[in-house]
Amino acid sequence: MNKAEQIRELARLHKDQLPLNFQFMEIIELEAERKKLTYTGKSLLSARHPFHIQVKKPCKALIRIL
Amino acid sequence: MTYFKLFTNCIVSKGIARSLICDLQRQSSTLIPNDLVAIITELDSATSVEDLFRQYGAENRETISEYLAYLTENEYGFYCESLEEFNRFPPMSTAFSGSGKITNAVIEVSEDMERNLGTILEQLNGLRCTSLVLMFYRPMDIDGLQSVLERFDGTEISSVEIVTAYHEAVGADFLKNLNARLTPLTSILFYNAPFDRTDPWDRNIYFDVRFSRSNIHSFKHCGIVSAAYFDTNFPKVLEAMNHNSCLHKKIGIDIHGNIKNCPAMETSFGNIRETKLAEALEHPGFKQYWGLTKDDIAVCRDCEYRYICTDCRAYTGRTHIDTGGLDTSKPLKCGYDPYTNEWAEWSVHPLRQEAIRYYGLEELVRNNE
Repeated sequence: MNKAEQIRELARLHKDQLPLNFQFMEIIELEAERKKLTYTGKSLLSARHPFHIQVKKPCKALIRIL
Repeated sequence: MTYFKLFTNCIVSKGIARSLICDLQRQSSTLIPNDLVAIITELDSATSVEDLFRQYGAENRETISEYLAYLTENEYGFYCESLEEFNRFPPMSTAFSGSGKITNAVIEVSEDMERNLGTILEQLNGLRCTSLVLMFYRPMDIDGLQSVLERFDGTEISSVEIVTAYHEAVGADFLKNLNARLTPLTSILFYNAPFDRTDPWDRNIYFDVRFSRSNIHSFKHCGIVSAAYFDTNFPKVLEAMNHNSCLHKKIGIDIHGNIKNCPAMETSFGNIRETKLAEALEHPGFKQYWGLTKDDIAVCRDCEYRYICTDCRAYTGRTHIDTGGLDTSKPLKCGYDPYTNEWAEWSVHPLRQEAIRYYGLEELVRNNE
């Protein structure tokens, strides 16, 4: 098992303990991420973690100007 | 005996004249009469349906039956065949928790601050901030916007909203170029546009695009309370039940670099040039409004919409101060009256004129007329 696979396995095993924003994230390989972006919508790689950040609107209006 | 249980993800918010039932799972809220709330409360305390009918008498039997039918048809609740079955469904915890020290930030970006935006973003990322609003009170060309958005590479910020002035180059190609690179941009508002229009996020452009004729020249425009800003979802409602629905875990940086709870608030906790955001956060006064819920605020505490609405502490009616010195007045820009259930234009209310003058909102009010 290479390092990337080890990290992925660890993240998968401890998914419930990850911060809330990461719990819904799919853990995928970097190369697969690039291919997936074309059809899954919008997701971003985090420099610090081997899984991607789902871009999503906040749960409430942060400013109310109009 | 038969019992009736409301689904635990359905929360009743009782107002003085009527109430709201919030289905947090389906993300919808519906107005209900307070009589129905009395029935729900009774049933929720393990009173059997048979006992309830007896208690209210034959003359109310038909009404109660209609209420129960309404609740079951709309899937707000279900019948239990025994008390044992009823007790198998404990109430849902309404506690709110999150990992970030800050969840959202609003920054008025001056040209000077734009150069140091990377440092600010690094600090926000360290505080685990996930949502950000950037206000540019000027037009931004495509290179400028792309350069700003590139700075989010490597951060864990999952939503960036941008407010900027409309200019002639803004069009389909401009948006296509902005969309070409994947960034956390979720919405962009062009003010001073020649038209009003909203193009929601779709499969071609991965962010909401809004155009508005309004001239957004300062943060004085913020704080509007309207049904358009109501949200029914788990994190939003649970946060509102436990904390201030606007300022909790929010950090604001105004156009001069002052670190505040919100750019429109008066109190500053240091300037971004010499104070780290984490240091400002540790200031004893920074979190003073975080625990102020709508249940603590005058008028709002009687409002059925209080958990799906968003508060404003920057602009209030300036009528109430609590024993700790916190402003507990109703938001100034709310035109809803929970006692009559009517909406009215807030800016013409005679009792608000003094507060309008205090905040220097006269020009804004005149322009909106």
